[in-house]
Order: sequence, then structure tokens, then C-alpha cells
Amino acid sequence: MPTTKPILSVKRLSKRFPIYSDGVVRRVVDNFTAVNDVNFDLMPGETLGIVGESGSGKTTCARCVLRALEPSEGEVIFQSRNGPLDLAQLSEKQLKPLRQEMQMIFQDPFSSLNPRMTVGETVAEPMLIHKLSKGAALKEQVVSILEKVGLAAEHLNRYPHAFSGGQRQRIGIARALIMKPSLIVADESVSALDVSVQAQVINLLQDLQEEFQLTYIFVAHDLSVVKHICDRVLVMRKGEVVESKTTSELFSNPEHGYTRSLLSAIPSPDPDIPLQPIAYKE
Amino acid sequence: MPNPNENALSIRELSVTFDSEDGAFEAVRNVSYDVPRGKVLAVVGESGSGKSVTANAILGLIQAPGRVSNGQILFYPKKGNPVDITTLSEKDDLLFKIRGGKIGMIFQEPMTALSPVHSIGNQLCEALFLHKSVDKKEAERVAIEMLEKVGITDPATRLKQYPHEFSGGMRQRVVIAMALICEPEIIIADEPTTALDVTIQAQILTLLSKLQKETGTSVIFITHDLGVVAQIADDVAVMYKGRIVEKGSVRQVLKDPLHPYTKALLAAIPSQKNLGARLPTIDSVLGDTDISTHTELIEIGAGRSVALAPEEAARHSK
Repeated sequence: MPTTKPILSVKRLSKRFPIYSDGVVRRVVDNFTAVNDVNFDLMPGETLGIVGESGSGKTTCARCVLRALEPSEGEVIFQSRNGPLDLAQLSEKQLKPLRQEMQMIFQDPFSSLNPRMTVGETVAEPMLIHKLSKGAALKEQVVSILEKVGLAAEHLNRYPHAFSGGQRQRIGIARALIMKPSLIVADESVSALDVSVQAQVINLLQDLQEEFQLTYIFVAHDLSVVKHICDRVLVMRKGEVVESKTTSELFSNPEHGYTRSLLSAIPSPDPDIPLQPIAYKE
Repeated sequence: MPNPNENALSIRELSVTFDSEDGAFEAVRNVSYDVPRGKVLAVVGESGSGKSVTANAILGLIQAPGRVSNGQILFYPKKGNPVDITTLSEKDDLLFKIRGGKIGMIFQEPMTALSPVHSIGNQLCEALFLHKSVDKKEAERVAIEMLEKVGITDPATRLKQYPHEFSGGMRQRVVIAMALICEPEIIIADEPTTALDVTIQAQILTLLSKLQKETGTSVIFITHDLGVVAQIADDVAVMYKGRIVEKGSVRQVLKDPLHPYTKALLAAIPSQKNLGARLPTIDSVLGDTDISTHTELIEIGAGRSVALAPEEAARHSK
């Protein structure tokens, strides 16, 4: 374990969504707890996987960390360039400069890009919003980041529809990277891709991590991908973390019944290893 | 002509062309495969490989600007004469009987495959009214029985409910029930588990496998997931850019892939073998190997064929 401080320290994070009554005057009648008491530390350069089925709260948890959603409770201590800050306590205005340091890569490369903006505009937009660069200098930065993700200057003036799924995902990655973030949340960023394109994007994410010392939170349901790229894994179920371990420990020695049932459900490409899913009972 | 008792369906030299202003594009090129009766054939490939277009052609669902430009799709019903589906016109009664009747379809997205404004019972019975001469009471009885078969508890109540009242996995069970309700001889399943969680996927695969064995239906299973192929299929055809590059039994192809593309596809899956290393991509595995030179499938015995140079294929010949 390195002696450096965690870049992110999440303590007792919870998110509740109100449930409203029917009728004209909608009163809050109950709460739905989507994320309940999640705790973890994340070291610089580390990759944390959050896995679980749909509805497990993995995406909600990741979004609360970035304050894309308001957490209901808990602390999110982030080591920013100007020292540690509790993201959960900051106002939107205070958060804005920090947004450069934490970026998100989305699942669907088809719906996450604006079809009416060119690749160049899409990648440059965050820099313009944060007033970090403009003009010729910005164009140079955009080209350089596009080259990093395996695209080229000739792609600048094209629109998203002219690109394949894998290329679109690279555009999304370029848009996140141009801000030089330290923390990236990748929400199912490779699940919509074909296996060969998936391999390219995973390799790219790992190369970039090395080059820019990036820290990743990788939200996924594909456990074989998680096994490949994550150092540690949180297994979530119904809003709670049921198991949290290093990746090798989790896969060699899953303790929680739910983790075992998840692992047993992965079909092996070896026809001699039959699928024998274990049902999870509470 | 192959023995009609052996195969439920034979595709022969099928080509599907899409015409556009920039010229014609062949999405499926000279594809031939057999679906043995009572067996599961998996068709694998990446997006754009032509696997779904081939399936759509089987149901006569290729629409303009697309057209079947060459080849035959021979359907061998258990009773009656073989039919070449490519010769049937859109208005043909026979095509109507085959589509959804003799050949059922399971789609990828259980969210979009069901109508949100009709009850489950309504949608299940509709298929029966179209293809079987049954009255309402009988249709409902069959529908309830079918829902029970696909593992939906309290089917009589569920019949009256709408798709939004079902979870993703349950909806896919309903879609399977719809495909099976007319007792088809062939089922085409187009990525039926891709949109599902891994635990639900395992349940659906187990269910499909069980029902397939019980009913003896032949299945064409389209997927890009080689893990799923290994678990459900008997035979597999690997497609790349509109052509089949390798086909054979699942064991042969997955354990001992011969074509460079099949090898690359298997290598790109994150697994124990490449743990901690860079993932091999199709390009890095292929290297300088040009896989577009030899497109002719060569039979090498034991029901296996591969698109390699003749001398190389001969080396693998048994």
C-alpha cells in the first residue's frame, strides 16, 4: 500500500429518493434508499470497480461521488489540487472549478454525444465552459488529445453519426481527458461495444491511466472486464456494499453468497465448463 | 438436395445487397449454413458482420433498399414440401404461416419487442388467433400454460397485466413464451440475453436450453458472446464482414479455432490467460495476416469448414 493519501475517501454515503403520494398535492409519503452507507478509500492511480445488477445502486453511488446527484448523507473527501475538500458540502459555485478534476465517461456512445456538434466542438466545449483555452491554442489541444485516443485532426469537422461505436467512445474519452482530470468515473463505458472494440478501449483506458496517473471508478456489470482492469471491487446489492476486496481476492475467494451467485452466472467460453448458476437466497 | 429429415433449414449461397446512391453494398456474401433438426446453431460475429441480416432474410424481413440478391433459404417443414423462402412474395399466405408460426423469433430488447398498450394475454393470444384456429377460451388456456412453462408464477393473473408491470427478465420470458406459443419448428433468437444482467442471463439460457430439449425445436442463436455460445449451442458459424469464415461443432471451433479471425475473437475476451496484460485486439492478433484473400469455405471433414488457403486447410483436414 502506498503511503500517499487517498485521492477520494467516501464515508457513510447514502442517497434516498422521495416517493410521492398520488393526487394533485403530492406529498412525500416514503423514501427509497438507493445507496445505503457506502464507505471506501481510493488511492491515486488505482482503479476501483463497482459491480452489481441493474437497480443495485452502482450508478447512483458513482454519481453521488461526483455530485451529479446530491447525496442525502455522508462525506466525499476529494484531494483536489488545492487540498482536501468535502464534495458533499460544497455549493454548485464552489464545485464548478473542481469539475475539471473529475470527469465522467458514459455508457452509450450513441446518446452521449450531441449529434449536431462536430467532434472538434464536442471535445473543445468543456474547455470553453471553464474558460481554459480558446482559438488556435485550443484547436491544437483538441487535436493532440484526439491523437492520444487514436483519432486524428481530419476527424475534427465530422459529426458523431459518421463514426462507429468504438470511435464514438473514444470521442467521449477525449472530451473527458482534455480537462486533465485526476479522477474519472466510467459508467459501463465498454458494455455497449463489440469484444474486439472493447479490448481496444480497455487498452486505451489503461495506457492513459499510466500516462496521466488517472484514478478510475469503473461501474460495470461485466465481471470479466472488471477482473481485467480493476485493483479493487465493491459488490453492490440493493444499495448496499455486500463485499469489498482486492480483485484477485474477490475472484479467488468470494465470501458473500451474492458475490458467489454473480460469479457463477458468467458463461465460460470453454464448452467443458458448464454453466451452473448458484441462486442467491437472502 | 440434402436430406430433409436431417435439417430444418438450409441456407445456400445467400447474398443480401443494400442499394444506395454510392452503389450496392453486400451485407451478406455467399453464406451457406444448415440448421440440423432439434439442434442449436449459434451465429457469432461483431456488429456489421451480417448475422442479423441473415436471420431477417430467413423470415422474409429484408426491406428496400435491401434485397436478397442471390441464393436460397430452404425450409423443410416436418410435414409437407420444402419451401424456398426467398421465392415467396410479401403477400404470400405461406410466408405468413411461416413467419411467427413455423419459425418463431425472439428479439433482443424485451422492452421494445412488446406492445406497451396491450396486455400480455392479448399479445400472446394474438399469435394464436393468427396462426391456429382456436377460440378465445382455448387461446387463454394455452397462453396460461405457456407462461407457466417459461417460469412465470401466477400466470392467470399475470395474463391481464401490461409489460411495464414486468421486470426485464420476466419480459424476456414473455417474449420467449410468444415465440413458442405456436409450436414453431425453428426459433431465431437474436441476442436474446444481451440486454440482461448476468444472473438473469444465466436463468434465461437455462430456460431456453430446457425448453429446446423438451420441444425438440431447432434454434438459430445469434450472439456476439462466445461464453453464451459455449453454453447453449451445438454448432457454431463465425461471421466476418458478411461471410462465414469458420463453422463446425462448438467444441471444435472454440477449443481449436483454425481461422485467424476466430482465434482473434477468442483472444480478445478478458480471461485468466491475459490477466494483467494488454488485451489482444483483433488487429494485433491478426498482424499482417490478410484474412480477406481466402473467402471460400473449405470442408475439412468432421462437419467442419474454414475459409483458409487450400493448402493450409488441407493440413487441418481429418
